[in-house]
Amino acid sequence: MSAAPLFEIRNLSIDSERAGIRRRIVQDVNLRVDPGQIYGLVGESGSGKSVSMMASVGLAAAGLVVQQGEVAFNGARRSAGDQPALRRNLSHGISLLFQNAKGSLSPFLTTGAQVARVLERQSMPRQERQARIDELFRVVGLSHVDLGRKYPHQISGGQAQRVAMACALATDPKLLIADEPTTALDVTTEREMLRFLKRLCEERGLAIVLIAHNLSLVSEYCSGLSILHAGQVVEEGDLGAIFEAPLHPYTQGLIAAVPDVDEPHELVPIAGSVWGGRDDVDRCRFSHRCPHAMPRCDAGLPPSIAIHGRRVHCVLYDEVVR
Amino acid sequence: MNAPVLAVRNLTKLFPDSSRPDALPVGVRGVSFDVARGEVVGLIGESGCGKTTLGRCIVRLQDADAGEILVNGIPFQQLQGRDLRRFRKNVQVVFQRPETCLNPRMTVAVFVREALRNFGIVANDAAARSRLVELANLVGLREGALDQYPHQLSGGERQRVAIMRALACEPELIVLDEPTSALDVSVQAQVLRTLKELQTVVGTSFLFISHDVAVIRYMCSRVLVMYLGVVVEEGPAEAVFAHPAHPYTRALLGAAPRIRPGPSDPIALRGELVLGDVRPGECPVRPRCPLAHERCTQAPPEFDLGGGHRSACWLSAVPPPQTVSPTEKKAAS
Repeated sequence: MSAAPLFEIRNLSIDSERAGIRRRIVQDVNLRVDPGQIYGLVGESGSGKSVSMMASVGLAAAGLVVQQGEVAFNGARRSAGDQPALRRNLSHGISLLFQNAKGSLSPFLTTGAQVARVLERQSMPRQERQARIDELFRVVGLSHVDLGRKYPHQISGGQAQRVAMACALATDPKLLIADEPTTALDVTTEREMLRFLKRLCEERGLAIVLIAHNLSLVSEYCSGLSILHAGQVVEEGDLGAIFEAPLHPYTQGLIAAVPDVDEPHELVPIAGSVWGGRDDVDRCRFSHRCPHAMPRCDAGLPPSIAIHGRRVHCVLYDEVVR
Repeated sequence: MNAPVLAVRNLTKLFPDSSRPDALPVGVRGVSFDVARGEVVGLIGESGCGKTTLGRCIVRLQDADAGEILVNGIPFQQLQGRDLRRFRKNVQVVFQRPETCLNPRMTVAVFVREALRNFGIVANDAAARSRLVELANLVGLREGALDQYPHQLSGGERQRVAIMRALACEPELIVLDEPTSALDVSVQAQVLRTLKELQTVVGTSFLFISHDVAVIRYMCSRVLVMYLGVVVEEGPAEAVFAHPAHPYTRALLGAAPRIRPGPSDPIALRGELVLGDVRPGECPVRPRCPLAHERCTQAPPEFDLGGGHRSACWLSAVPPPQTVSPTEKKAAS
């Protein structure tokens, strides 16, 4: 175990309340990210990956109630229920990057002005800003084009994502939360973008939480990984260990469901859908899709079992450890 | 052999940008290919390469500027009025986002029955009902969904309804435009499996459009790789995936995310597609191609690599192409 993690989420649980009905949408999520690490958070849509990360930086959406949990960043530990306090981490060490880059840029500002705004909020004197903007554009690989005077609608999706990147880096963050940053991009651009993020981590010690819906995206770039299903972490730990021998039936299912470019294999779909089961609190929420389901799965929360470099949350491995 | 279900000859459909008359227009320029009966042909390419335009032209949602589309040997484009309406039955389409093509005010049964009635496929409502149940079983849709509205269905189920509607017309060819891109991986696997099984049972030809090379590899027996409106490589899926000849195909395959990353391909394209960088008459990939050389300022012809595998790249020209006359390609510059 390394010393202190840069960022840690402990026992985060979130309820949604709509029309008087309460549902637990995130259940006891734990996550730790070390400095310079790229950590993957993978799950299908609705699995709670964005919700938990947004709540951990104080951006829980209206209608969500943070029930319990703690977030530690840079040594400061706060209750997850204190959203305004968590929000102060943003622009003081944590930056965000979203899927729809053009949507996160203002259509009324040139790209240079967007970055200038961030610097202004950082109280950087006006005369120093231009030099810093040029430097940021160089870092994100936009210096060769005269992009600073263009508006978001005049640039490509890949360029827009790089501008969003420049805004995110303008605050000199230690942690970047990237929510599906390449989903809207072409594969060749996606690869370039992810390689760039990886280089940033190696050179500047930046840590990244990479949220993705596809396992094959994280395999090349992350060292650690958590897999979420219906608000519960099913398997978490060292990426190499998990990919070498996935233990949770859901992880195995996800791998078998993805078509392979190099060796085509028969696809094995996972039955049912993420929220198809009953969403009572104390049970494994994968049991309604699981080929190994047994009565015990519905009798309580699955145990968290440390085994071969990862934690797996499944009763199947209960006996293995004893 | 039978005549191909679909024959596309020199199809061109361009969208010039009036604000930038000097830039190369996007669209499809001079594409030709065949789809044989019962064949699944994949069309791969990145955004803006013209794959969707090509698909829309084939189902005649868009009229081409030039070129020919033959369905069962009949020139689809020249049909008008009632003939056209009847003929549409033969070529159906499934779009990326089913919620945009289903009618929110119709239950699944009513919606699909429209298609059955429109083309006079069933005689009466009773026959329609039994055909609907049959179709639902074929696409793996639970029978209960027939009397539900689109908003009551999951994303995967909605896409099954769209496939079911296309199938209801008993078409010769279905154009599937990114049918699983909006779905989660587990649901994507369900739908892809259904499509594959369906294809072997019903024998309808598919033109499968996708940007995901792994999905194309799973589904298709033959593939076309498009870049900026032209087909840069085509051939049997086995050959193209095992021995990609065109640098663009190699870059595309190399960039595909993998569960088990292999040794990385040395070929990576430079930057992004910038229309202004491409000059008319040259190889469209040249501005981004790491292997580009002087000859690439002239668009290469398609070189035959044997077994129906063709690549439009000078590097595929072995032996050296003394026999190829570049004069006709010079005209544009």
